[in-house]
Amino acid sequence: MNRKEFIKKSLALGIGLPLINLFLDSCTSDEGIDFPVFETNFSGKVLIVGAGAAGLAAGYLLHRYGVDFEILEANSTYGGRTKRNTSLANFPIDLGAEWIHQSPSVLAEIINNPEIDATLDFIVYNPQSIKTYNSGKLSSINFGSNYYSEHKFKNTSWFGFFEQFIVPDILPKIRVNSPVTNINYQSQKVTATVNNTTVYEADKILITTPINVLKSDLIEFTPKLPSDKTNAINSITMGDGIKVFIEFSEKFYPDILLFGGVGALLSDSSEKIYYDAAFRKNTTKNILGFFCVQYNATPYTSLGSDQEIIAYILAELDEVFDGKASKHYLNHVIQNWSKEPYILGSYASEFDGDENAIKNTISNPIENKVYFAGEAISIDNQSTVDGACESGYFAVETMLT
Amino acid sequence: MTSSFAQEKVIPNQEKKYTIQVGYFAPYGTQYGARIGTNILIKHWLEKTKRNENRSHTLSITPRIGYFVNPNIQKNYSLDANLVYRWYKQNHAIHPKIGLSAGYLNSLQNTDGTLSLSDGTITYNTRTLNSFIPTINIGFEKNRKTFIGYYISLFYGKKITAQEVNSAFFGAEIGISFNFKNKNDE
Repeated sequence: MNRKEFIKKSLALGIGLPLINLFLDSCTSDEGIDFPVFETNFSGKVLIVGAGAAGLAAGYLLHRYGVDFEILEANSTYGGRTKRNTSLANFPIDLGAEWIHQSPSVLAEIINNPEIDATLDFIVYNPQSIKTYNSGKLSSINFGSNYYSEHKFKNTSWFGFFEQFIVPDILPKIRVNSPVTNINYQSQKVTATVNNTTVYEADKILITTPINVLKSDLIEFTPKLPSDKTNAINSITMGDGIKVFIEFSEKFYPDILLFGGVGALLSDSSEKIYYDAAFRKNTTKNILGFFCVQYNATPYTSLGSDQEIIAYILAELDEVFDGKASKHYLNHVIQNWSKEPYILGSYASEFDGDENAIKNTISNPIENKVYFAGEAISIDNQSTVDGACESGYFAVETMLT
Repeated sequence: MTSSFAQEKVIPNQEKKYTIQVGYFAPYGTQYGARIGTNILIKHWLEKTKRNENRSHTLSITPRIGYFVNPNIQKNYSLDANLVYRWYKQNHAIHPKIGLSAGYLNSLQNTDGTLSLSDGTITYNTRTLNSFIPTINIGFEKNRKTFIGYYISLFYGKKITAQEVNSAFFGAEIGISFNFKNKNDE
């Protein structure tokens, strides 16, 4: 099983963690991404909708080629499904994308700057103690550590990576709190209307919003998107997603806690995992992470409040660990991605039809003016941050050549 | 069972050969490496079957050294001794074997590292894990009448360490054996 298949079956982008798919080989293959090198005589302006990984990468590449652009971000900050918390622990916590799903060298490939004088510390994320909880029984399957390994940032986060190495070059071009409500591409220029008031005009537009935003009515297109495009968009399932981090006074949990038997894990593309978020971090804090996506996440994401969510989770952990969760609970932080207004879920996980055909249909530009990018349509690294970057780079290359 | 003197008399030539085994060693089915060992005969005895055929039984020790890797995660060096019981009719080429082994596993595990963002080079930091690995082994092997034989075995046991959680240790090994004539018999 190759990297892509692994990701399709068991990983997460965006919100990141991988499921331990016990019969899969170690996830250390190096698909890598190709930083585009090309010549262009394009001298117009580009609008980018969305300052997530794909949008930021696209802006980074446009900046490299000296192309005028602006990034319109609906939220109050950039990052998209990379998001960071610095208050719960003494290390940055990834509330969104967390894992580096291939060799860390992909980070250098994203930056593609031989002149840069910087290093990044990373963790080999190879959990040692693995337990499953099934039918009221907690069982050790520590041998699973031989089948799974990835990487994580040691002292920073995905958000921090963009903040430090991608954003500085393009920060003046990012317009936060700018939700696009209409995209009009019926004339020679394309316009994006923000908050139904401010209109931005450009020669081309790149849309990098999550698939669920495209499926919603948050952005109106004038004229409407072609039916093949909307059909392709609607054929992608981007399920629910939630991440929760809980600080405990004692570490009573394993490095990874899975639910269900091994057979269920192999047949289930949904994921629900508790994991030691402090694994190999420089900390003495006990931080348990909860990662849950797709339909397994719905019981959590649909709860009315964060108080209900944490109560539900502590009750679940108490059942598994004989009441130790409530006993040692100190603090928590919750990121409900399904309720995040301009995200609306986790990441693309299922394709109703030929996956590559769907991705190509979405990627094909409309009238050489409207382009799309994002994790969902990355051919080689779907559902990952680096896949989102790769998709952004590919869209810009297509746009400018 | 025969007396020890009688055993010496009836030991088939194939059991007197000096054997080196070289195997493809695949713990957990996905890791890979090699293991090399030799065979030291401890005891041999015969029994007569109902058809009045000779059935040989042997007990031997196979000291082995091995190396296997889980790419980008860990390198492992193993040293163990496998107590092997084999039984076969002397006119049969393939025979089963079962063994109990105990050994030492040294693992160099990548824990973290540093990435150079200019060129993507990676430097890993490692830690050493020391484990005790008792296993049970079952398999088949081609007898040693010819210079080159082969063997297949499965093993299952435990990786026991004070430094980490214990875990199951299992896998497969397939290899060839080189059977040299013992100089004393020439």
